[in-house]
Amino acid sequence: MDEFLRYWLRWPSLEVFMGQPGAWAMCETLHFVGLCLLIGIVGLFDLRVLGVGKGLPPGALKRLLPWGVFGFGLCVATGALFVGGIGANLIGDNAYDVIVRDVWLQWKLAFIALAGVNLAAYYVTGMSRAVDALDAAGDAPLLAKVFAGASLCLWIGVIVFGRLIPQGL
Amino acid sequence: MPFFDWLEQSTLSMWIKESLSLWPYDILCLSTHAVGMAVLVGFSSAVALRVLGVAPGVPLAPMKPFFPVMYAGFWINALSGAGLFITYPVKAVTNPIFYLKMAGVVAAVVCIRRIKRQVFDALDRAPDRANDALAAGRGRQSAAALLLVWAVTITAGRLLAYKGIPAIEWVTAIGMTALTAVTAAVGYRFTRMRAPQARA
Repeated sequence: MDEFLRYWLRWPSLEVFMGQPGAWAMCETLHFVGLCLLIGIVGLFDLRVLGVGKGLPPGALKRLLPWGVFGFGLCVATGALFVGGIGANLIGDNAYDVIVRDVWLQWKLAFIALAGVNLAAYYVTGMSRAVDALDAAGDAPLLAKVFAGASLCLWIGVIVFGRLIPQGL
Repeated sequence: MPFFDWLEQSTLSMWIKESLSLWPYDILCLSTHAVGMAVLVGFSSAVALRVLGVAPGVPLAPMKPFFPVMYAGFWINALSGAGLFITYPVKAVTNPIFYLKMAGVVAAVVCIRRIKRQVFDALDRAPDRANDALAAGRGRQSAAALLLVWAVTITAGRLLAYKGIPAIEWVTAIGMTALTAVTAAVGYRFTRMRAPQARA
């Protein structure tokens, strides 16, 4: 199983690309742009659910969410380049070995997964419908506020663990 | 540079960069700086996007409470940035890209304050929802400038870690300039297409 994952997580073409001057730095910059969009838009929505900015109808605020999703997509794409092209930065190293070795990368991936579970629960429990139905000054249900608070904490955790990754290599 | 040499050898600087714990440098400075950036850049960009016409159904005036959140992000970054600066001040002050980043932060704060004054303070005086499009129109240039400035500042900030490697600095600068130009052109077309609807 280890060798299977080591083989499939190594992408020589990505290592060649990421080994070009400026490729890694550009991906890092785009990763930061993506996380700013994600935190800004999703954070804005979460804070509204928590009660900041009453006067903003949450249903209308959702129109900004695609930009947050775009930011997340940018982070996933550049993150995949970091993992797949890790051999360009750590010569001879393998993405699977890095994931197994780096506890901060594991925590970051776990928090991203938990944020996804949190989002799924927000929809499955009907809190999304309840929040969308609020008028501009409406107060969100307590459970929706719990999901919003958890979302903020999880994404801040993702950022913190992300900056600690080099310490676990 | 005696002052900066002294600063680099100071007790606080040595504690931050030589501690065996992750707390002083990695968490309190580096990670906190990333969180502050996400808050300041993210929230101000969200407001700027709305001013430029994205999601016109969102009323502008109730977004004003998010300005203190942006300012909190700014001060988080000012403090964590000071911590990062004192660990290697000589490296920073001898790097032209550091001055570009600082100029970018100043320009961004000017843009944010202009948006607040031109759009939100004006709406305070005339809070009719129908005035949203007019108010947004006044702040469009500042909002567009803010997004461009953030693109430059984030790039400059990242390149501080690559001082002394011109190939990386130039390729990244040219690549991000090209990407920003394409995004700005697409965004300009998008806002010009949306502007007639906003004015209606």
